[in-house]
Amino acid sequence: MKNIDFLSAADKPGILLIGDAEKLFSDGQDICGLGVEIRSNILDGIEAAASNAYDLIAVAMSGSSAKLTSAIEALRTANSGSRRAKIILLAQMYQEPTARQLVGNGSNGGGLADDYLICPTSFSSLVAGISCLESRAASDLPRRAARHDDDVVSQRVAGTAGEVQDTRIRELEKLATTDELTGLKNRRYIWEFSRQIIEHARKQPGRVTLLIFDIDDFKHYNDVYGHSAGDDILRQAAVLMRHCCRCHDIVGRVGGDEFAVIFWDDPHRKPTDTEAERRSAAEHPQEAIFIANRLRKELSKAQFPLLGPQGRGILTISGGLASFPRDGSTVDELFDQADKALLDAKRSGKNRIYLVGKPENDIADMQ
Amino acid sequence: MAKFNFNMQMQAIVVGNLSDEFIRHTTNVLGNYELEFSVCPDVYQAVSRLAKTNGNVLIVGRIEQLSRENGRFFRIASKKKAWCCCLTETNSARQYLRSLSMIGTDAFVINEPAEIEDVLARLLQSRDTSVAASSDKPRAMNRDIRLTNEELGALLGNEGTKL
Repeated sequence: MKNIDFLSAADKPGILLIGDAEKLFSDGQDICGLGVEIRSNILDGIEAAASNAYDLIAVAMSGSSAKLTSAIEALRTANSGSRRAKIILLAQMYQEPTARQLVGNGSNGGGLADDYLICPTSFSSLVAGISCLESRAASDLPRRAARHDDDVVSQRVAGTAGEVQDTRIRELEKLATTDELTGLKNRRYIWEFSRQIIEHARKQPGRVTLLIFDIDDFKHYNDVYGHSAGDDILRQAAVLMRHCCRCHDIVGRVGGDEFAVIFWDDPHRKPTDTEAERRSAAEHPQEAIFIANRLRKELSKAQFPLLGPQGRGILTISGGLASFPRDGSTVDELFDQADKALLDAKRSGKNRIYLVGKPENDIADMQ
Repeated sequence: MAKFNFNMQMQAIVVGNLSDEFIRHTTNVLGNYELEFSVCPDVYQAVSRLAKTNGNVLIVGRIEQLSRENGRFFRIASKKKAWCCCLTETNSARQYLRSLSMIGTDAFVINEPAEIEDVLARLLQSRDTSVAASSDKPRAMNRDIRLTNEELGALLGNEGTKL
């Protein structure tokens, strides 16, 4: 925030924000005095973009991928004058696949949007994004003709510096949300994603199911075969999990040998329409059950070389499945319930996954 | 209500896809009247176009399209003093009332594609008579659905009047 406070009015970037600043930015309450124009509705935003020149248009993502595509195309058309604004999407975690698609695809190979930020973020990150994009654009396609070789060099340096900064920001973001050992999402990410997707499912019909499981007797393997064997088990389990889940499911390691998977509706598929459908889906999370069973089967066939000749099919897991809104209406409740089901599964002899509210009802018997 | 600017030609923005018979019919009619028009696939492009257009603008589209984003488009059109003409293919009084509630004021509501000609005739006539659509209520062009809110309220009970 402070980094643009001291700029003169002429130097301040013209920013149009389409969305609710207080919900999008951790420092959203402070941006009012910074000359940012805010529109709450996308149509008002398009109208503003057609009438004024901006350096940056930040759009809070809402609605389907098709709607967003139409809206951003219209923003581009509206802003097709001499001063082409950068369009940055402000995405919730669960909207990242769609954001990536909108940035990556599009006409002219450049993508419909220039970049995206995952919310909640800070307004200063958004402002920092402008300089990165400017520098990147300068290095890719200099908009001003360079008069001397020195100018060309300085533009390239600026571009490189911007790219380095951009890459570092992305790397830091990845480090902050990734489990180093397995490459899966970490606990912090899983927790925040769950919070956001539950909030989303509360407003629009959607299904969210949480699976928490751990590897049976992991401590034993760790103690007997050593920590490197333990690490290897965790890494292989992570690969298997990614292989078994759908690409939009969120898979993470939330503790030592404890993993979590968030099953949710495919963001590219038409959402379910009625509350009744959501309820019935929440009561019978068939897709989640199917995937969890597939994971168990794959694990039962997997070879773990560091566990010696008996390493094939030796590993089993125990877990609990909890669904929103049936088993909990908040992240805490959902995790608590899934944890309890996991404990029940352990107490009942391990190698099973229980649904919340259905003790001693292993999902393996449900297919 | 928007007043006709006698110094400017009327332009039309048709919102929808040309694969839609109503949109095709509308563009044919506008062509017959030799009016300048553009076709926008959705309200998003229509807002972009509208923001860059001055003068007498008529916007034509289906209610389902024009009422997207909670009817915000109508408010923007009203701010720009543009006329809106919506096709609502329903004989249900309840749905019709809902449409009216969403549109607010300053719009023509038709329930048959052919009625677009009546709207155009009325608008272009107003250019000569200076009585360009001066009512503050949406105008229903079809006699079958030209009911007052009171009549609809009586038909639907209290629920109708709350819409």
